[in-house]
Amino acid sequence: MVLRLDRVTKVYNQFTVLQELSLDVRRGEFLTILGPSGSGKTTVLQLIAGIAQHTSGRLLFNGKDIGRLPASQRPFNTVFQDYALFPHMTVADNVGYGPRIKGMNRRDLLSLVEQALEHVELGGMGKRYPAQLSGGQRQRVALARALINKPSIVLLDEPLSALDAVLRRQMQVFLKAAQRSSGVTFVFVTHDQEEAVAMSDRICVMNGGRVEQLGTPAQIYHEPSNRFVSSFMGETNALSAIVWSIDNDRVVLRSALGDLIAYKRPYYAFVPGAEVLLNVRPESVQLDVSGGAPNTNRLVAKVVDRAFLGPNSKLTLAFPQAQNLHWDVRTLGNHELPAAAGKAGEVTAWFRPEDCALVPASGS
Amino acid sequence: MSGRFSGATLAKSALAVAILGVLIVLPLAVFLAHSFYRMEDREIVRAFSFANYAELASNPAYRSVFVQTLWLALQVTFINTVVGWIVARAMWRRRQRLHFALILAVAVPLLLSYVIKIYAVRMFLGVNGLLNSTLTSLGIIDEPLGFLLFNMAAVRITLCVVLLPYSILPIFLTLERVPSRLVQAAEDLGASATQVFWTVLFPLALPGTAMATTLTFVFAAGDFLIPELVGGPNGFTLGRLIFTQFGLAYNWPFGAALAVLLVVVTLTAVVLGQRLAQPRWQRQNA
Amino acid sequence: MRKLKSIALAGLIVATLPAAAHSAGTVRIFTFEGYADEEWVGPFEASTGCQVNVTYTGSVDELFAKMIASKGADYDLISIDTSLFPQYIDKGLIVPFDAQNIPNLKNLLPEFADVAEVMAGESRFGIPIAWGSIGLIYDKAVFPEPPTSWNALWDPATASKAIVLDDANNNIVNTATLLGFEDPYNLSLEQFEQVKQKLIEQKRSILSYYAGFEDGVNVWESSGASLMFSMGESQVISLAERGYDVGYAIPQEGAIGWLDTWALSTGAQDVECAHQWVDYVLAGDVGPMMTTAHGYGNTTQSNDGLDYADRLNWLRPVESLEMRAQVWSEVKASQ
Repeated sequence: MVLRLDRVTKVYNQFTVLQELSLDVRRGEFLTILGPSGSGKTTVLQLIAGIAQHTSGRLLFNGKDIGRLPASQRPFNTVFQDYALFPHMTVADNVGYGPRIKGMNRRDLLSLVEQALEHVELGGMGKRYPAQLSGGQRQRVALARALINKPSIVLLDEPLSALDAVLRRQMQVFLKAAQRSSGVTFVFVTHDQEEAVAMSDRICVMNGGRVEQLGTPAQIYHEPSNRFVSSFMGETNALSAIVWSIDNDRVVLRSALGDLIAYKRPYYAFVPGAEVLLNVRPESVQLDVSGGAPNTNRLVAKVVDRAFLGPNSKLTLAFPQAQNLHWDVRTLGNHELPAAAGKAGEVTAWFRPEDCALVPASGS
Repeated sequence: MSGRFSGATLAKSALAVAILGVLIVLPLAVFLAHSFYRMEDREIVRAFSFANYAELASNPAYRSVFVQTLWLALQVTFINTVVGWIVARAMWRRRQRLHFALILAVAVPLLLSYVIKIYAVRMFLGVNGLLNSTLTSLGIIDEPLGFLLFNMAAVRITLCVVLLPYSILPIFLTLERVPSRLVQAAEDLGASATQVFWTVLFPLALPGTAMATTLTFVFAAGDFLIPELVGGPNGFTLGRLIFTQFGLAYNWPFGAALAVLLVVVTLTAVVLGQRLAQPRWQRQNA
Repeated sequence: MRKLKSIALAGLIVATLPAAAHSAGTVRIFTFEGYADEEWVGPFEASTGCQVNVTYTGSVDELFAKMIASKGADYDLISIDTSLFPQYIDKGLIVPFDAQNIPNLKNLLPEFADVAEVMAGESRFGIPIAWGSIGLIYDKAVFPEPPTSWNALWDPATASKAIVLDDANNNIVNTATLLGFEDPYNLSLEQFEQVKQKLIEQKRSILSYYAGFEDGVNVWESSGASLMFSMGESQVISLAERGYDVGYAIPQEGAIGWLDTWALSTGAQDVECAHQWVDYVLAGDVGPMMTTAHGYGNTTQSNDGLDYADRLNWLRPVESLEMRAQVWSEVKASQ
């Protein structure tokens, strides 16, 4: 662990932005802080960078409290959302800024800058000014400017939000590769859960100044610990249910759609009678095309809408037992539909007990 | 609109050129013409000659006034640019909400009559002025200081005081347009406050600084009222010499030649300021 | 037609009025402040029906320049001092008065009745109205005895607290007088050089120059001066009003005296009203009113305290005003 935020609170204008937040950053990882706007994720980054000061708590770097060090003395560098390149300096001068003000001699600086520019695939662009570069190029200059200082942590504040979709995808790959090859710890802030899942070693989901969940992308996606995380991390089909019994590795639930069975997870602390929310991702809902579906978790439904999305289609299901409840289903291609739909558009849908997640019905 | 002007555009630019011509070029041309005339028997003789310029170049008294005036203007410009920066930076560090009020506070003196401001400084520096009476009542001095007024130092002080808003405002306004992000970025990259100033704030506010120095230099080099009112016998400047020629001495042609000299100095300052205000990185982006 | 009618009507009205007292014209006066105050302009307008339109000037040169520019057509009456007559007559800017139409000429004091400078043979070009001197003003607390010589403006002991009028001719005449030159109004080049050096020497020791009546009083106040090459007696009044106990001295070398007169512009439109104005100010108590208000000597009644007219050099035309202006600006410009 390289950096620890220990019960950090930030009050700004009598408004509590962060509430006793604790978070560990591991050496060499790509950690993403994910949350909607106003969740406090950027504040966390600013506190680490030293741009903002926390109100209470500790900020431990390798065990030492660095909470009162000015930004200039922290071994971290930031890639800003708008890049914050110095418009009056060439690309080379921007990239070499950190070493230069620390007094590196000119010859070493030149070769270091050249190397750094090669590293971000901007070789030969050193003499240009930022205004003469494209968005993606500026992004890479900003990254090179941070990495050249060999910081312990690079802090990235929604650096991709200004780019178009295609460039964004490319930069995701580029950033991830840059992080791997440099071995530097990245703390990346975004509100985009797809981006977070695609790039991160770990994701910290934040909401309302609190950490909702910290884990690998797969954990966060498949095993959300609460309603907020499950709904924030992509589409999900939710159903209110009551824990009926817990039997070894299975949880029996009673719901409007009948009795359903979920896979028991080690961290589930539900007791019988608990109100829970069952979550099934649309791609985990299967349609019984050939009639060979298992007996558990079978749902008779009606297709009320269908949408062709290219690589797959989205069907919207309605249930006779529960009005106003709609589930989405992802199916590969379009051709399965006629076969799956029986009389009057009726289908049988099912999901595996290990493909659903339970979260407490109450709470955020 | 490629290459074609509409009638309205053409009319507008013609009007602009006409206004410029009547208000600026024409008076300058009149001055230029007068500078080649001469006085005879209390009347202007409209005969072309370089006599005024020859007199200007050969008379050591006038030459030294010219040099002394340039030196004075440079001193005032330097002092005010430094002080302007200090004040502007202090203002800039205040909260954003206060900025408008601070701009107003600095700009209000510009609305006051020029003469009133000069008299105010004169009353402040005078033998029975505020400064002297304060120092006397504090027991720092026994007798009022007479050397505060009616000399070159008084001219310098008064010019600095009266012209200070022209330094503060342009610097502050460009400083305000420097994104705070860039300062954060520099600090984040390890820059100290001094390094942030010299590598980010100063170069980015250079257009404002250029504006401030140009305005201050031009006003200081051309002013006649301040030297006239607080300069005493030895605070003599080019502006005052010109004023004398058009007033007491009644020698318009010589005054015009001096004025042409002043215009040349002014234009040079403006051109230099313009170059400073448009650094390379901005020209390349354009 | 309507216009014609109204003009005819106006003519009729004018014709029926008592001709001498009410000529209903306008006299345009271009003068220095103090010679056409409301105190006597009002009664004049009431008694004659002539309207008075006053324009003030700040300098002798401005007055001359404006007269030259309009060839005198812009003004009916101007006030100029005795030294300027040759110049104005030369340029054809002024014409003689009709003495027959100024019965009050008989009120002039004997010493002002026949001033040569304003006459050309039998023709009277100027009517003396006010006189004064350019003397020294001193602080009575610093000078128990009045200063007796212009040298006080050079003597480091007194000059360091002295302020001097910023004016070419007055300074040059005075300095030439102090240097003992015979004709301070007509200097040789060599004498000019000596005057210039002497003035540069003075410049190094004095406190300040001042430029104008009010400015002199202000500079006196803010510089803590105790000696002043003044603009005349009236500055004593202004300083006294501000609480300074000052005296006025004519040094032994003598001082410049000035005598201002009314002169009739060549371009005068209402010659009749102009004559009525001149006649009016010579009558009764206009002179004393002016003396009380401004401290100038007047030309019609004897003046209390103003008993030194015999020690004054009345201003005369100089060899070259250009030359004097140039010398003065070189003095001011030199270090």
